[in-house]
Formats: sequence, C-alpha cells, structure tokens
Amino acid sequence: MYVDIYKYILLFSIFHSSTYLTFSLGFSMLFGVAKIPNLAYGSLYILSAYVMYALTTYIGLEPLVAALVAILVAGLASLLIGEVVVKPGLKMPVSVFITTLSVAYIFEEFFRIEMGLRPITLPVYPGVTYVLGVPVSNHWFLILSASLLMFLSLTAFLKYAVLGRSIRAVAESWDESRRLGIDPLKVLRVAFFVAGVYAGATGVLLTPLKALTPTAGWGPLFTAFAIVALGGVGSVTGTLIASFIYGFFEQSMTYVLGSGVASISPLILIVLVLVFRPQGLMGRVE
Amino acid sequence: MSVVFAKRSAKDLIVGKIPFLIALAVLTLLPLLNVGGFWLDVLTKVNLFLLVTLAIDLYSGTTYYLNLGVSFTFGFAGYSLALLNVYYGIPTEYSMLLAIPISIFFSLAILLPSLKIRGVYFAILSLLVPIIFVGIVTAQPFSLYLGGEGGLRFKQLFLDFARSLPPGVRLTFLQYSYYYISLAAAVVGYVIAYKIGFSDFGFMLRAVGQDEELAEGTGINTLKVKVIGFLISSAYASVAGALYASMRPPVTVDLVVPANTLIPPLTSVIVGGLGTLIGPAIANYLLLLTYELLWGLIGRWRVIAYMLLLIIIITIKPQGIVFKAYVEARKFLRGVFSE
Amino acid sequence: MKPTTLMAVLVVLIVVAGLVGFLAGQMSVPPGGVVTTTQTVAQTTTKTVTQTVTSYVTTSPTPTTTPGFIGTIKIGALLPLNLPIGQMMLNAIQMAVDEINAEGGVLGYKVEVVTYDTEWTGDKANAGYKYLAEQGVKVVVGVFGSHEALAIMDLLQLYEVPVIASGAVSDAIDSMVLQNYNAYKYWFRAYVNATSQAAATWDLLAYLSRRFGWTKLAWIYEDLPWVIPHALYGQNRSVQEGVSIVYTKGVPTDVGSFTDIFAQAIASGAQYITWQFSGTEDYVFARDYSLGQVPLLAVGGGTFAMLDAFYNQTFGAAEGLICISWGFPIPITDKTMSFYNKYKSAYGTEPIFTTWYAYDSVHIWAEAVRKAGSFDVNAVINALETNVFVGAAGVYEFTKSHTSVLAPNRIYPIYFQWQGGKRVVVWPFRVVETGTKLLLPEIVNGTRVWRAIPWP
Repeated sequence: MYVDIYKYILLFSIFHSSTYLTFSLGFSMLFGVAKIPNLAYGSLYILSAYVMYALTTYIGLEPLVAALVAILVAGLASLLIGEVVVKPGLKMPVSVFITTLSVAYIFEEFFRIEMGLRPITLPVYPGVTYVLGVPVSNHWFLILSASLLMFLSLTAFLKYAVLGRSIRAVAESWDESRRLGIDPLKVLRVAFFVAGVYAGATGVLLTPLKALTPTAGWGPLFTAFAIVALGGVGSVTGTLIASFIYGFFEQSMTYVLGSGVASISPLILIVLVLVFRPQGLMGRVE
Repeated sequence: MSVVFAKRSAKDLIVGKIPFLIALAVLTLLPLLNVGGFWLDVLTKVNLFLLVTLAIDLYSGTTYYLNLGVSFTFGFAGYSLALLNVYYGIPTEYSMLLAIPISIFFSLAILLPSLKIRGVYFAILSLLVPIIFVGIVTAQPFSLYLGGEGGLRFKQLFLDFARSLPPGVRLTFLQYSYYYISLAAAVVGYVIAYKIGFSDFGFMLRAVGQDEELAEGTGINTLKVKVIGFLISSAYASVAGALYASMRPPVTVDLVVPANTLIPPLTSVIVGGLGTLIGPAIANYLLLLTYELLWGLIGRWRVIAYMLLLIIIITIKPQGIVFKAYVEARKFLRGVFSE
Repeated sequence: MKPTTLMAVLVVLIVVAGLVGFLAGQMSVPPGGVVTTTQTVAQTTTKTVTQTVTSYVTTSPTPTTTPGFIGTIKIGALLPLNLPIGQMMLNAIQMAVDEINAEGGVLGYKVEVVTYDTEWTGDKANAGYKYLAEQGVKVVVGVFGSHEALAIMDLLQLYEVPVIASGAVSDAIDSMVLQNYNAYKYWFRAYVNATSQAAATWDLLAYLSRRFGWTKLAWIYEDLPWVIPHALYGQNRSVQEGVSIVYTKGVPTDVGSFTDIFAQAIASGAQYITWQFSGTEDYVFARDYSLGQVPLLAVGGGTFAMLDAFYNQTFGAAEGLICISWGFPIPITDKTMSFYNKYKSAYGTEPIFTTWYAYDSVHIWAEAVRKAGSFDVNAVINALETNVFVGAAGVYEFTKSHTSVLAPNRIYPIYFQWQGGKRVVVWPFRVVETGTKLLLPEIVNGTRVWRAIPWP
C-alpha cells in the first residue's frame, strides 16, 4: 500500500505548482501592464477567503455562490486599489511600492481587529482519490482543474479578445499603445480587475487546505514575486514554467535538505538565474 | 528631480543654516529637558535610522536603482558584531568597528553581480537577499550558531563600564552616551552626505539616474559610478547597523526583516523627496516620531491610522511632500527677510 | 538685524519652544528614569493608556484617589498584540485586575494596566519594557516570546521592575538567572520552561510505550528553533525509555500537505506519532491525518488543536488525535472553573494556552505584594521565591531559576483525545474520569476504524 517517495514528490509538486500558478498569473499580468508590483495583491487573497467565510457562516449561502461573490468582491477591491492608490502614483513608481504596502498592512490589521482571534477554515471538497497508490483529497483536483482553466482562459483572453490584445500592447509600451488609440488607463483598470479575480479565486480555492489568518497573504505574495522574477514580468508562459520549476525545486529540496533550508532554496536559484539572465526566463530585454 | 541651487549670501546663510543649527541645538539639549529614557531611546533609534535613510537617498534617490538590500547590509553589520563578540571574544567596542568593513565587503560581494542589472529586476533581486538571509538564520542547521529566533546575545556597548558606576547613574549614563553617539553619527553622516550629494560625484550619480546611456555617452563610467555609490550607501547602512545593534542586544532577524529596517527609511525617502537629502532627513524625524506618538494617542489603531496617513500624503504628492514644503518655507522666510 | 529678521527668529523660537514643551509633556518621568520603589503613586500622573477589549483606549487624566482606594498603582502588560494569543492574554490580565480591584485592590491601591505592543519583535519588546518602566509600573506581566524575553533581560537590573512572564520558555533564560542571580533575579516565569514542556509530553509517550509495547516513534515538528530543546530532551529520554525515534520530519509553518509525511512515517515502521506545532499547521495535520486514514495514534501539541472549536473547524478530521492542553476546564484547583466560565462568558471564546498563566501571573504578583506588605522590589521578589501560589491553571512554586515547577501537584498539562467532537481527558490519570475509553486506530478492510479500550 505504501509507495516510494518519488511519487509523492511528483504528485505534490504538480499540485503545489498549480496553486502557485493561479496566484502568480494575475500578479504577473498586472506587473506587466502597470510596470509596478502591486504589494496589496496578497490582501485580495485573504479578503476573498474572509468574504466567503462570512457569507457561508453568517448568511448561509451555498459555497459555490459564496465563492463567486467573494471572487467578485476581490476583483472590485482590486479595481478600487488601482483607482485610488496606484493611479495617482504612476509617475513615481517607488511611491506605489509604499502605498500598496500600506494597503496590505491596513487589510491585515483590519482583519486582525474585526475577524476575531481564531484562524478560520472553509470546507474541503469532499472525497479521496487514489493516484499511483497515494491518497489525494479531491480538493487538490479541484484546484488543479481550476488553475488549468484559469491559465487557458487567460492565454486565450490575451491572444484573441480585443481587450486582451490591448493589455498586451500596453504591457509592451504605454506610448506605443497610445499611438494605436488605446487608452492605457482604461486597460489598467481591466488588468486590475482581472488580477483581483485571480487573487480572489486562489483565496477561496486554497484556504480550505490550510487555515486562514490575517498574515496569510504575505507568503503567497513573496512566492508570486519570486516566480514572476524567474519567469519574466508579464509573461504568461514564463509564469507557467517558473511556477513548476519553483514547485518541483521546493518539493524535492524538502527531501534533500529538510524544510528549513528548502523554503529558501528556490529563492537562491532565482538569484542565480537573474544574475545571468536579468530579464527572467521568458522576459523581454527592455 | 531638480534641486534648488542659489548663490550663497548672508540671507541664505540665515535662512539655510539657522534652522539646521536650531534643530541641532534642540536635539543636543533635549536630554536636559526632562526627556524620559523611552523617548531618548526612540530618538536614538531615529538618529541612527537617519543614516539608513541617507544610505537609500544617496544611492537609490539619485540613480533610481532601488536597492532594497539595505536592510541586509544593516542587519549583516549587527550579526558580524555579535559573531565577533560571541565566538572570538572581541569586546563590543572593537567588534563594532570591525563589523563595519566586513558588512560593506559582504554587501558588495553579494550584490555586486546584480549591479549591471537594470530597472525593476535590480529591486527584486536586492529584495530577495534579505529574505534569503532571514531564511538562513532561522533554518535549522544554521540557527544553532546564529541564535535563530531568540537571537545572539552579547554585552551591549559600555555595559562593563556602566556596571562599575553606582546603580542610580548606570541607566542614565548608558542612555545619554548612546543618544549622543547616535546624534554625532547623524550629524556627521548628514554633513558628509550633503557634501557627496552635491559634489561632482553626486552629479554623476544623478546623471546615471536621468539617462544611463546618455551619461555613458558623455564619458561617465557608469558602472564605476554605480559601484562607488553603492559602496558609500553600504557604508552608511553598515555604520547604522553596527551602532544600532551594539546598543540593543540581542541581534535577531528583526534587524534584517525589510518591514523593520527597510520600509520606514524608504518611506522617509519617498515622503521627503528622492535625492534631496534634506527632505528625507526631515521626514525621517517626523514620520518615526509620529508613529511612536500615535501609540499614546490611539493605541492599537495606530497602524491603520499611520498607513492611511501615508497613503494620503503620498497620493497627494508622489514626488515627496516634505522637500516641497521645505522649499516653500524657505521662499516664505526669504520673503520675510527681504522686506 | 532688521525688525522683521528678529520677528522671524522669534517665531521660529516660539515654535521650537512649543515643540519642546509638547515633547516634555509626553515624557513625564524625571531624568535618569530609574524608577525607585519609594516613589509615591501620585507622582506618576499624565496619560495612562488602559486597554480594555470593548474600547481600545481610555484615558484617565488624573489618577488620584478613587473612592475607597488610597491611590492608584500601575502594572505593565508587554504583549504581542498582533497575535491572537496576545489579545487573549491581555483580556485575562484585565480580568484579573478587575477582580483585584473589586476585592479592594492591592494594599489599598487601585490597580491599572498599561500596555505596550511588542509586535512580536524583540526590538519593540526592549522599547516597551523601558516605556512601561518609565510609566512607573510595579511589575511587567505578559512576555510571551522567548526572543522578546531575551531582548529585555539586560534591562531588568537597570530598571529594577520585576517581570512575571507567561511563556518565553527558552532554557537559556533559566541558566542566566542561575549564573548571575543579582542581574536577573527580577525575572519570574509563571509557566514552565521548554525542557519541562518536553518532559510532560514524554511522560505520556513513555507510558504508551510501556502499556502497548510500542518502541518505534515518529516525530513531526515545526522547523523552528523553539523545538530544539524538545529534540535534545527527546534524544536522552527516548534512550532511557527504550523508545527509538525511527522517523523525524521538520515542516515549515506554511506546510501544505502531510500526506507524504504520514506515508513515510508509516513506511519507517513507526508505531505511534508525536507532533509539535505553534502555528496553523494543526489544521493541515488533522485534515491529512483523517484523509490518509493514518492507522497510528498521534500524541502532541499545537496551539489551535487545544481549542474547543477545533473539531468543528476541521470538520471532524481531528477525531482520535491526542492533544496537549496547558489549561483545561476541569477542576484542577478551586479557581479553575470560575476563571474558565467567567472568561468564556465575557469574551465568547475559551481561554487557551498561556491565557491561563497571564491571568494567574497578575494574581501571583498581587498575592506576593500582600505577603511582602509593600511594593518594594526586593521584598516582592523574596515573597515570590518563598511562597506557593494557587492559580487557575495549577499551583505555582518557583525554582532557583525562577521558573514554575512541573509536577502533578504543581503545574502539569492535560492530555485529551478528540472523541466524537468532545475532548476526553486521558492523561494524567489523577484527573481522568472513571469509565473513560481510549480510541485506538486500526485498519479493517482498508479503512481506518477506532477501537475503544477501557482507560486507564
């Protein structure tokens, strides 16, 4: 019944990588358009999870409906952050670094004061499936399929939809896109909303597997940061590749080195990659 | 970012130097004015953070290469001090001095390969360095030697001497000596930074920030300028780190965590106005003291209030409000004097 | 100098003077900051930040004599208020202070709480201790993290304000008190040290080994330095008890899955599991323990696994887990149930972990002051050293290293097993109810079932 460890590494690398992927996609796309990392991105992750918790616990909504509402709320919150906080600072990118960070601290502190003292949990998608003799919660498959769907839809959106194409154009160059008759600020609004939806979706998908505390947004944010640096800012394919490299490297290092060093080993890898290839794996040289 | 330059005249001297001297006089005399040890302690910290603020402003504020690894340099100086003291038995007074070149050397060695990287990737890379350092210090095999969460304990600066004093004077002696050391470091640091910032070298740094290719075209060796600028910046952060750590053992990862030792000075630089030196210096005192005062006024809500305040200030004037205000105040004063 | 120049200089001077006055008003303590114990209470006026749960800030402008009291005395709470545990400990401290005031205060003085938020950093703890000492507090309670405690140890001798900590389990502190008594005698821990924590866990592990003949143990822990004393103690004790630790695994606090870890533990031939966590790993652990149908008994400790809501929060996955609890609603002393019920009705949640000890630490201090008959530091320290204190979590007796004694009739944890949503106490035996059953996991036809055996 008990199988050797390589199967575990393989399976859980794929699962973990897919969670990294869903979260990093929105971050990367927004980073590409705005040219600025949105450090309040992790707050949207916790926001959607808290909203879903509140809707299911206090109002008694169906989990699916609650999840959709929560994701929408995260998208709108992201839009609001973009309008109020990021837009005035676009001329001064460094200042956005501080303001978005301040927003993240406000969210954290707010939930700490308002949402009580305990971590919250959300129900897991029920059932267990055996893969290669390994028991795996069906929730992991839900995450895997959702992240695949989200990756494909973003790729299609960027490639075929008019708005998606404008996003790519703006990410390429703001001045160039203005000349093509695209309003970069309008595109930025769309990018903020889509990014918020992706962060929110990760929140409602991933929280059932862990417990949620007000500080839970920081870990994913740093991971997304590292993955985007590795994959190249704004590159969807790069994010896909980088997520899987990150996931596999982290999971296998856990077995080689123990968890303490393993959590930072991908970061060291990224530093080495960036020194030799500063624009990331799939990024363009500016 | 243009800086206001005017011909020196007696008028400017009055307007320019007198506020500086008054500020200096106030800071020098504060300990004699019934200032409790807690506030003296806060001011000591703020004085030392001025050096970190200047470190960021001198390099990142002029070249626009955002070096987020400053907190690594700061903390590394603290850890070098503690390691020299704990494992080699060197007294804190000397290990503090040794720690400074060690930390500068390691910062250069680690971040030098990244200096050729441009734009946002340099910022990302430099931010990863302190995060990795925190990971290493708290990870299992290394934490045994580096103290892990609890940190490395050592004798704080002048503690042996203080113990030889009568009990009632000990604390006063330590607090006053720390305060005046930090004040001296802040004043000397600021004067030197000002000289560098507006020297020929300072203009080369600014030229790199404006347009690197153009600067190269005019015959500036941009890499050399960046390396020297980085060296100066690291020296500031190292001095600040070594002094700060020597005054409050144990050294812990708190020294390296960007939220503690990077974000407050970086905020000062942005609120103060990049590359203006005087703006960030004033902002450094205003912001850090405001944060401490808020605890007495609104307790736990201070984080939210402070962050909202920051957002509002930065959103109104992303280029930095303090320097603008300073220039306006000078204009106003000059107007008053010329009547 | 022109008149306008003079005016401008005057304006600047007035502004500066105003600023200085404002700052001086903030800093009311005389220079030197050495808080002498003979200082009268009325001297320490100005603002006091008192924290209650409903309103975060209430200011008492002039804490002069309240009817029925001679005056007011302050105690300091140095806590990481950004963590849930810090908030809970503050609630408990406030509750204890209210009780003391309702009984007429300490030596006729009304007690007030001044707080400072350490934000879970040693640096802020250091600043906070100074802040509290300069507010004129007579004792500092709280102090939860070892790193926070270590950051204030060298200040104790300088300020001479004693600390009664609840938490900060590092053994390094104990050896400091032993080695340099004069410098560190101000430190007391109304809780046990890390070695004692490990010893309590191993008492049960050793008993299970003797009872069921289990000799192979798997150890899963959070990969943080606080676990090191557990490892060191476990290495020695396991040899003594004839148990071999066949599998060890450290996990990061944000671990996502235990499925593989359980599989490896089983593959290593382990017969039972022990675990130590401080973060939210408990939830993931319980989920995968149930999901993977792990057929091994798991005995251990986690902050959140102690909670009464844990079973529902894990949607029943916690079934069969044996968890440590350092404060439990069974009548351990005559104060236990009254504190538990009062806390629960006031705040809606259970007091967990060091919340019990924070509550007790205030009463211990008050008791010591009453025994000493004064607020004098040395007299209070002497009273703390020479007396035994009955608290809600157990009975406190301080050792030479100023930590609480771990013993069945002093401070001792409770172990309970999750059985159908209820916490059934299974250890130590003197508090186990008759008719208790222990659930043992077994694999029947590929699924895990729980077999109930009479216990003890």
